[in-house]
Amino acid sequence: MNGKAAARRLVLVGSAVVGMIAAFLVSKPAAAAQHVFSVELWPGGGSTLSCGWHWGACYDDDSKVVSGKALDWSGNSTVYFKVRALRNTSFYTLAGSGYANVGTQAWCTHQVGISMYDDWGAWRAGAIYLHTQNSITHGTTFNIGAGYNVYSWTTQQVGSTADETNCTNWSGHHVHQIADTWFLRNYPDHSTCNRPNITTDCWVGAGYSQGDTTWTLLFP
Amino acid sequence: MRLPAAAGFGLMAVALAMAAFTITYLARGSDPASRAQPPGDGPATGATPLPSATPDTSQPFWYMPYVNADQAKPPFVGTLNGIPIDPDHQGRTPYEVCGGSGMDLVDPDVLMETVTRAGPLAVNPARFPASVRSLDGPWAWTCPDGLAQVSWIFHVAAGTAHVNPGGSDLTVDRIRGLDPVMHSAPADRWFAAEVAGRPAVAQRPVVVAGDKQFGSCFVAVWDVRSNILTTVSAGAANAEFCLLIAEEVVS
Repeated sequence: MNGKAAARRLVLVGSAVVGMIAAFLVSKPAAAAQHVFSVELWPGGGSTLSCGWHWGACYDDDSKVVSGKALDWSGNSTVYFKVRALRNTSFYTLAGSGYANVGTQAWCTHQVGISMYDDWGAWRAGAIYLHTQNSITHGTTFNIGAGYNVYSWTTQQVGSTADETNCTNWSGHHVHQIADTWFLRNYPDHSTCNRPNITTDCWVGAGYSQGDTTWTLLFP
Repeated sequence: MRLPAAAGFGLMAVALAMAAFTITYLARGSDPASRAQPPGDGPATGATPLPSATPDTSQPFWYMPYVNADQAKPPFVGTLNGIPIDPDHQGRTPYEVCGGSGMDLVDPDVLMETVTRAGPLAVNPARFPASVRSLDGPWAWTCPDGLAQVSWIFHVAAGTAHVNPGGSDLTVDRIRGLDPVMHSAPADRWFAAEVAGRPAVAQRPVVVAGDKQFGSCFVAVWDVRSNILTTVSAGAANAEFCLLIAEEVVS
């Protein structure tokens, strides 16, 4: 009788063990990882602001200037596409890719455009740098990094301030940086910063982020 | 209706096995994630697609093999459809364009009227799809003898036909004279076209897969009669979109 009971116990324990082993042998797909990317656009043409948020040309007569999505950075400097990005999950992945679109035919408005794509190739935001003599080749693609709950910088050189000599309305070398599809940060407007006539708010120190964008991706 | 003792015991064993399976399966960790954890430093692996491969857009960075393959090819330099293409061309200076003087910006009080008024350098966005909105500009430049150049930058909203699912930027330039086109791409992305009866060259983006794409489009249209070169460039769109905009600008 005891032998029969022991055998039954053995069978029951064996059944449980078989069930547990089977649970490890059957594939269990990884859960989808939801990544939230937060990306900031930073000044790319120096740190000396010569015209706050404006649209088109920044005429010295401020009454003729319209508020817009561009900042002018003065000085003869290297021009960068500069962003910093973070993601909210510990799974490693880049934020996406940058893509250089170079090749305007226009005079007085040398132009480099950077498109920012996410990991699946959807365009998310862009930055266009006028008066920039390109050093980057058209079609150049580069990684945009993102840290886990800490910002990771991406700094891609795109050119240098162009010599637009004989464009008689431009006063000195500068970069006109257009922020396309970013939530714009609180930089001075042209009405408080428009050199040489209005200099009240042109001092921005080393600069700070100009715009933000956020997107969510589901990784299967 | 009592079960035989042996059958009852068998059912109990099966139920125990199933319970152990279920509890263990739920409690164990997932298989190692692959897509959520790309190995190494990211997608710049140098991989290139097989010649006839169809892009697998379900994969993150599906476009990178096509970018790598594209960048391995030399840029096209030559003449296509009567239009010279040379990415290394430096262009004329405003001094040369204006015959010895500089260029001036058109006064802002008459700028919009000057740019949109019918003429060989006109750009009228009212003719564009409604999803195309002005982002910055326009700018218009004059030589002493008249208008010499118009430039305008736009944003194209997500969902526009022949444009990246996320949208794109768009630049339209119209200038005097025929300078070599300075846009760079390998020969297999350039093709001859006709826009409003005028010769044109167009450039495809790096890769297009259904409604997804990666890379820019570009079109240059040369009007011999008016001596105007018109270029259209969009950072994330297909050639069909650049051709559509060029048609609306030139015609």
